[in-house]
Amino acid sequence: MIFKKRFIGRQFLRVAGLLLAVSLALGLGTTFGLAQDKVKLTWSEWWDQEWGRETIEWVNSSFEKKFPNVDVENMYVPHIQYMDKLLTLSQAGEAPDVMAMEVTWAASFDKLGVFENLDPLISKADPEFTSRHNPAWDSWWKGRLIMTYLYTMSYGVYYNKRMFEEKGIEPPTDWEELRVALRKFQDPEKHQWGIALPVAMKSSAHFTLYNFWTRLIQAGGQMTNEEGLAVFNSDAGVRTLRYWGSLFAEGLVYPGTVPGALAIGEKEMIELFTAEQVPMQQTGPFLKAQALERNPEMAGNIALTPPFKDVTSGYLITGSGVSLSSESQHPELAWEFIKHLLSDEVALKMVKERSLFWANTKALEFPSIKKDPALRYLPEMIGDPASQPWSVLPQLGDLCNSLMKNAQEYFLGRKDAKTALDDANAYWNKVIREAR
Amino acid sequence: MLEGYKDKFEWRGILFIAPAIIFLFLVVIYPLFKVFQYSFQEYSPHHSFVFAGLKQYQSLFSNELFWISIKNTFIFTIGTIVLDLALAWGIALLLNVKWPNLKARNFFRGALLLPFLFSAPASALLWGILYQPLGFLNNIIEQILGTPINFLGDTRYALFSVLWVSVWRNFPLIMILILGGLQSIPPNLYEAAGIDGANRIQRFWHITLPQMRSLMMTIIVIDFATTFIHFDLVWTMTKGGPLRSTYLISFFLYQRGMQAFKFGYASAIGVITALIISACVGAYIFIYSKRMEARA
Repeated sequence: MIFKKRFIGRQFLRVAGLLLAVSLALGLGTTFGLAQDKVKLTWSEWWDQEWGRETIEWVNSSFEKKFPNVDVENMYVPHIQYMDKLLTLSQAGEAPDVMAMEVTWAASFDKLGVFENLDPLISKADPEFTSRHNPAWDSWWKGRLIMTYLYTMSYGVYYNKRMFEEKGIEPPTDWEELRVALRKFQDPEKHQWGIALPVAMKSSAHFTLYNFWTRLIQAGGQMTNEEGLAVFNSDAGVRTLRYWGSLFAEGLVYPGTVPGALAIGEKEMIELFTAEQVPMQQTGPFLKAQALERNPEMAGNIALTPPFKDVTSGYLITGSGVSLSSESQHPELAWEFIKHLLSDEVALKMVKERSLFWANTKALEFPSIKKDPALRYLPEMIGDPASQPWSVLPQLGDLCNSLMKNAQEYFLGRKDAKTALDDANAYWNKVIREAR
Repeated sequence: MLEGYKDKFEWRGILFIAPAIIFLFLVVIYPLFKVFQYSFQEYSPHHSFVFAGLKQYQSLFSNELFWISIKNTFIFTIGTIVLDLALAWGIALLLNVKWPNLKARNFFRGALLLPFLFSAPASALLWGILYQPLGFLNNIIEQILGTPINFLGDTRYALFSVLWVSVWRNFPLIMILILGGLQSIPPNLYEAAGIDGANRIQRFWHITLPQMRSLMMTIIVIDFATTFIHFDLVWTMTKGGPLRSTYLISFFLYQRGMQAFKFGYASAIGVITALIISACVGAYIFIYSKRMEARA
């Protein structure tokens, strides 16, 4: 019995020893041998659902084909958790080589010193890249180019084709025609209005971008000047705020009263649009996907109005993009990967297969865009010489809240338009100056 | 014997409690110390902090938004606690009496716990729909009052509207705790009081309330500390609006820390918040203890 126990004990030790030796050999082999020639390139993104997992894998593998010594590894983090995750990685000194980035976050992340300046790389890039690149897609902060767009878009007025046809109304082509259309759709008895606006505090960024900034450019104004300071308390700014205020005053915005409207955020706006309680919405091209997800019967019913023109015909150019990490061990390869993401090969696939509006001028000429009623005017809007890129701003959420709060005070009649904008403008410049 | 036990110091005992002490140090004491330290510093690029003295505190106290958030947080916290207790007490007393149908009582006990099982975003979504300007609640209100109430869009109602949702989620837990407390009161106390001729109000006042005092203190302290730092529900529903009427101290901390990456400033907000909670809870416990001593 004792002998048997000893025998089992020896056998166990032998097996354990063998396993340990094999593990060590494999471990050392992986470290020094098998992966010796491969460079690992990491990139973080939140696009798995929009692009599809197979597209992400194709993006990675097509780059690996161009650079066989590179092993691309992507890290998917849902958009809602992305900022926190990247912040943690950056603080731990483990930021990915290439990082998906929102222009709204860029100034905050720059404070952590995580961005490589892309300007020297873009200015030295080959003609194939530069000929497809619109400088308005580059985001500058404190004299450095810290991110470049992958997606690009502008915010326009989208409408429900069927509801317009039923009423026998043509889609509006300017802001006054929009007002006329709103009057025709206003029917409080049936709980129907022409439009809902994101004027709840929770949607302050949406109001700032979709409604205020876009309308401001059309009114001939600018959000910031060449020095990056806020200048929206101009005559054009006052005109912009008064325009939206006049729609509220006339009861043309869902649900007909200002306090009622102050509870409406972007989420409610989409619900109202997809429930066909409002036939119009000022937003981005992503509306189509959002609406079809909620109401598939809206397929083919969502269209973008022709570009509006007031003092100018310009729009706000915006998007989501990528940045190169200052901590990257392989900055040249990381830059090659960014060029790959923006290449014709990737851009055309994204436009063709995913209907994504890629930041590549050749992709914007793709015939499917012209045929899509929700996208067809976007190249014109983005390419308009009067269109303005979105400036990188520090503490954007805070700035938008300040503008929203002052706009709400104006809508409620507690401040006049000029005072409201002066107050918001002063706060913006205080924050911008502090950030510098 | 106890003295002898105390005199006998055992190193092995330290070894046994060492993991707990290390854990406590790592996850509670060290982060607290770091937050306090960061509140006197400023974060600079490349992950380093530089000493900034009292700058963060000076800047904090001169910020109008800080005072707005403090005011709103106190209204929100005190309102939530008062309504939580009123509702929880009322329902717990109802559920504690004899019902003609035991099944019905058990059903209500279970059903009333449901709001507690809703996550904060789910509650926010549900009440967001109910509070819609042309939603279900307003349809009823319009028929009764002739005009709808803009629960989340009107500065007069927004804070109380979100406060109510917080109460709706909180009160079931408190109700269950109170119910447990009520059921642990020995029935012979009531029987004796009944023989002495005490009516229901007198029995409640002289038996129920004194028996529940310790439990109430625990509930109030926990409710105060958790409600004061409340975030997710109100953030999802209003994000502080309209006109900052629902802006809480936790939003201020989150925006400065997690959106603007002003870690020193956010740490100062955290320290002040912790001090306010400690001071309020400390004062409450002090007054409570003094009263108990006086009674004794």
